[in-house]
Amino acid sequence: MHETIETLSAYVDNEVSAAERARVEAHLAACIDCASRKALLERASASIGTLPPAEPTPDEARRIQEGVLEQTGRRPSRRIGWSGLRGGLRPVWAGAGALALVIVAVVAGSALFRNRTHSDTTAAKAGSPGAGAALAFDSPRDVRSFVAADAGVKHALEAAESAEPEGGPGSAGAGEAPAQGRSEPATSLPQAPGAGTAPLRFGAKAPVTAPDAASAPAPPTTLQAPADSSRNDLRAAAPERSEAECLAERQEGRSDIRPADARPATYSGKPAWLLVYAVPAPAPGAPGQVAVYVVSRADCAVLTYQVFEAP
Amino acid sequence: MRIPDLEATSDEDLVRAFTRERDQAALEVLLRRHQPRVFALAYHLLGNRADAADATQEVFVSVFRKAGLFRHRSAFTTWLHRLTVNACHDLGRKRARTPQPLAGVAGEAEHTAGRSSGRDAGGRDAFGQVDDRLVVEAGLAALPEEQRVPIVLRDLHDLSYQEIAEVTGIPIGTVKSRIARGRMDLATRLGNTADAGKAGEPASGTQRLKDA
Repeated sequence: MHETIETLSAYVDNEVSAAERARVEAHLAACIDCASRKALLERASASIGTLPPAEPTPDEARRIQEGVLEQTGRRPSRRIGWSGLRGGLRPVWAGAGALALVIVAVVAGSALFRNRTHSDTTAAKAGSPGAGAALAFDSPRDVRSFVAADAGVKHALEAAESAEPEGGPGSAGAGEAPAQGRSEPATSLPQAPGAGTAPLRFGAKAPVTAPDAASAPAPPTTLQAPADSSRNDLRAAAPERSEAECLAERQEGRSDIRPADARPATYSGKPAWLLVYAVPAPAPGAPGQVAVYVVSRADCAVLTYQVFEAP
Repeated sequence: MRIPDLEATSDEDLVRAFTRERDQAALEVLLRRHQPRVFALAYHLLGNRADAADATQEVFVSVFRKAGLFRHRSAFTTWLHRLTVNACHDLGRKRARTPQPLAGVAGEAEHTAGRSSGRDAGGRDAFGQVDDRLVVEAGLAALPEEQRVPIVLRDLHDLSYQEIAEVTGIPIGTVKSRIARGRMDLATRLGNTADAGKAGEPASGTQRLKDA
């Protein structure tokens, strides 16, 4: 009685019970036909198994990635230097000394701008600060360029890095502000956002469609087939989330973490908050870092974030 | 604000981050991490790089759209394999599958690394023999899809029969027999001359192989 090829093939794959294995081995020792069939199966398996893996070329990989991001209404984001954060950030977040973290939040500019004075007046507009949500970003590079270069942000970060643990720089009582009471954060912020009130335009693209929420993923564009979203809800008409709400949500309720700077902006046309945090250096003498978040004003979702060495 | 180290985060947590917090970067980490595997599987199911690239793209678009539907009971990679098999099935139906033509191989060889030791990028071993990769790939491409899928999952992606059953939705016994039959077909095409039997029947010494 011979073994079936299914059994022999499963034996080759080590997908047989111990009892079956013993039986098959005993049989193979005595049966040349089965032994040669088993050899055939093994050879076929090995021929497949030694096929070279087909890996996408860098070009193919890039095109696939871009295709995915286009079809899902997103653009590639670039994350920088995560590894440098690992040691330095978690203790900060977890520990009590987190006030050293200052996040430049592009959060509602209205309250912030109202109380700022301008020492840099390159292109500062007169008139109500924050009017018209000046900053428009279209890519992570835009965000980074802005954060790295803007004088106001720079001041904010410097001030934050030398700030007392308990309070924002130059602020009176900012540290005592209640967790949710961020509607008047102005007193905690450094002065002189600089050119922040002038409209800054990054990229020439027209805004993408307004956010309209889909199922689990972040708001899709109109490219996404509605049938895919099992939980459509029309968020386009929903009120915007305030800076306070978004900070509470993204910071998981912690009030000891503060953005160094916060401004309204748009990101790919979506209303957003730009939040910039100063991250303490992981070790003395190591460079400090900057964490930048852009969160959607519609639902406080993180649209992009980056971390890089403090400029 | 949580600033997780995404590169060290598990697949399942990345899917959660993406589903719950709309964390776009999490999706991109998943894509970078798994794109090669998906492409490799699609390539051997579909037989050419262009279709493989299209299928890979479809798979990750599906990941994006269906992340909320991922049931964390099984591994993310199982889900990913299933999406890939399905995407290739759909694509295969839309297009005539074109097995890798021999003429196109020269360009291919640069992009595929020799798996077996001692072979250079062109698939030649130390004695200058051209790998029979082309013959094997052609043989694989000529198999019916229902055999090719489990064989590729088994021999190229090291999935267990149980995992293959989960990915394809077919019973383990069927997985076993399709792999066995496919291997025998392949052995025939590869010109092996030993006797082989039909599935389910013990072979006798007098049976001969059908001509390839």
